[in-house]
Amino acid sequence: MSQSATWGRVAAKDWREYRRDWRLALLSLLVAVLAVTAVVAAFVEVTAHDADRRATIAADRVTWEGQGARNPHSAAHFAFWAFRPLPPMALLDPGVLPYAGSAIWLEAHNRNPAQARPAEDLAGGLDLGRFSAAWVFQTVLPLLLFIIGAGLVAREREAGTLRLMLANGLAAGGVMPAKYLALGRIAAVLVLPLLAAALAATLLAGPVDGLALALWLAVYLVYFAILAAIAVAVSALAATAAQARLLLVGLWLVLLLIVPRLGGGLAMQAAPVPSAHGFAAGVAAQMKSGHDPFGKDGKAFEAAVMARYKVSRLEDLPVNIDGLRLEAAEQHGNRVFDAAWGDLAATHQAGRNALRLTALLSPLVPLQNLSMALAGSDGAVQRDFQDRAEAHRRRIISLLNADMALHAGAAGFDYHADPALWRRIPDFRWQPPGTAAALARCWPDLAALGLWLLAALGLLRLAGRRLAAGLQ
Amino acid sequence: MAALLEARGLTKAYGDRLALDGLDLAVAAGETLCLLGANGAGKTTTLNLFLGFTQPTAGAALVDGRVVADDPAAARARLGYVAEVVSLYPSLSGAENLDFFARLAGVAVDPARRDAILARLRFPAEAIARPAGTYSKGMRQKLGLAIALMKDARAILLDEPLSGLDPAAANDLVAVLRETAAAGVALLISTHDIFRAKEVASRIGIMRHGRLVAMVDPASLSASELEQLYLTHMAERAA
Repeated sequence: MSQSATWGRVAAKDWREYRRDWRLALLSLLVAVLAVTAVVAAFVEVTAHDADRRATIAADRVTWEGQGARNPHSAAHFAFWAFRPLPPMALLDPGVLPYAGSAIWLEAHNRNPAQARPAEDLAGGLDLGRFSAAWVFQTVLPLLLFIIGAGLVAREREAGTLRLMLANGLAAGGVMPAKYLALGRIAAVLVLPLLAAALAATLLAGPVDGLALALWLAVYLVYFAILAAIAVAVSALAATAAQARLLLVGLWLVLLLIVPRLGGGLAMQAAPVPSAHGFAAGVAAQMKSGHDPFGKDGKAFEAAVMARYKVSRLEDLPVNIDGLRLEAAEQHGNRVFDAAWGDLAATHQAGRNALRLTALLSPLVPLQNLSMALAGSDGAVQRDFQDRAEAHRRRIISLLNADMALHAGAAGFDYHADPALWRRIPDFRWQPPGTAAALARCWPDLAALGLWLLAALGLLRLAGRRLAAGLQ
Repeated sequence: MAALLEARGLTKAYGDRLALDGLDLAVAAGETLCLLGANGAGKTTTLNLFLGFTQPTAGAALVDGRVVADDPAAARARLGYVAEVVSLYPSLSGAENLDFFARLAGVAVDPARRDAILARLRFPAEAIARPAGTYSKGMRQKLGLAIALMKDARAILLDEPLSGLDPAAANDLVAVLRETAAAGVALLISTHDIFRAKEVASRIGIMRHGRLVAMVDPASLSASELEQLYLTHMAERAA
């Protein structure tokens, strides 16, 4: 009989033992209920959000187009929402969405301060405790896997059945592969139906990129392969099953709870993010101290405009000066925003880099990054949404300012634009970056997960050698 | 008759301590050799060397003419092993335990053959479907023996198989062992029990300090003479 067939026999026996242990069966059932509850709750949330989003966009459009004749600048302050559709895979991993939100208020002179919320980029350290399918898969299932795996080798050695297995055809070098296969089989039975249910719910929630979904599944399988290897190796290295259980629960605490949270703290220390209030106050101060075509810089601005149009009086301008002032003030604001948001983005990037270092200390860190990126719910996608929403805001404000400059004439702020103008203003549309972009920004996480897999399999091999030597 | 189990100058040292010192013995088909000795005499080390669980420092253990150290897997394929406490999976039934170990050994499970072996061992038929966690020690020992017989082991190594059994269960197991040997299986038994050894063995080896100090024919001695001989050797050790 081939060795692989022998491993299969051991795995089948372990599966039968596992099934008959009512404590483990009950624990598994509880975890399954937890996962299904998370998926159902997320399904309701995602589908309800989509319906709300569509209804609000339609209502906004009706209100916008029904505002009647009005000054364009007044309309610019009337404002509107930019909504991001929730990706169906947010059902699996909501990522930063619960912290960063999915709607932005777009208004003249104002980049929405909500976009500066510092929490958005610390998802690796912050979303651990949030109830979601990803949380169950990332944190709860590994604990179950560790509890089941703890006794796989240690209990057999303690009971003496390991010697009996060796005496009856299992090679010493085959113990670890057999037990790894056994835990893999148990884990597959535990995990695959839950993953399948989650994936089915995701597909029901909306169109999904098949590649992203397949990759999402693959990175979780790699994650479970890493944890299963660690569990079996520790079971073989520990003196007793009780010691293995204690060690594995300790490892679970350190690897999956403490290190990722410490990583969030380290990121904050390495790159402190200003509070939303402080950030907004800084932006407001720069806005006031800079170019002001309505106040201290008004005369100089008028002179420059008249020179450009080669006239000596404002009344002779072919455009409305206030429309140009508004656009100039907007451009100044945009420069201030770009500088401030650029600095903030650099701080966030420094924080992410610091957080990424902890990927070498916990496989959960790279998994979380990959899971969120592939689900389309990470900070990078959120930033893309914010940037596109901001570009949309600027385009609309420029359109409104241009209309005022071209058509207001001497009426100035008393000018009322034709309602047809409102219909020319497009809705916000946003296409999230695709899977290729997610992979491009997450290659260090892929590499870290690969390293973890190699290290875990190396540990399994080492434990196998020690076990074989210990049987001598 | 060719020996199924043979030790040639078999030596095992753990650091400076000699656990086994130049052991020579041979057990032929149908023969039962009991190794008597105190704790640390080298009995279990001898069994481990035949099983290939440990490597000899010098000499060789041979199973059916093959050196164990050269191919432990091939040696184990011909051997059965019954530990002092036969370890079974408590949540699996006796039949499931038997089938698992038989399949592991590459034997196709035949329920009729399994039932015949269990009947031969006088294993209660109604107990075979019960979880092994409910078995008495005697039942476990019989099941251990059944595992060895299921794989058609040509030689069986038994480590203190009678220890801790009540007299009735011990008598029963002795009878089973005699029948097993009579069927042509070579038995090598490690034991402390002089009287049971006399009942079951065709030869008895007395071990002390890793050496075989005497080999006797139990038929040629009464139980008390055997005990006296054993105590004499142990007293020499104390002296």
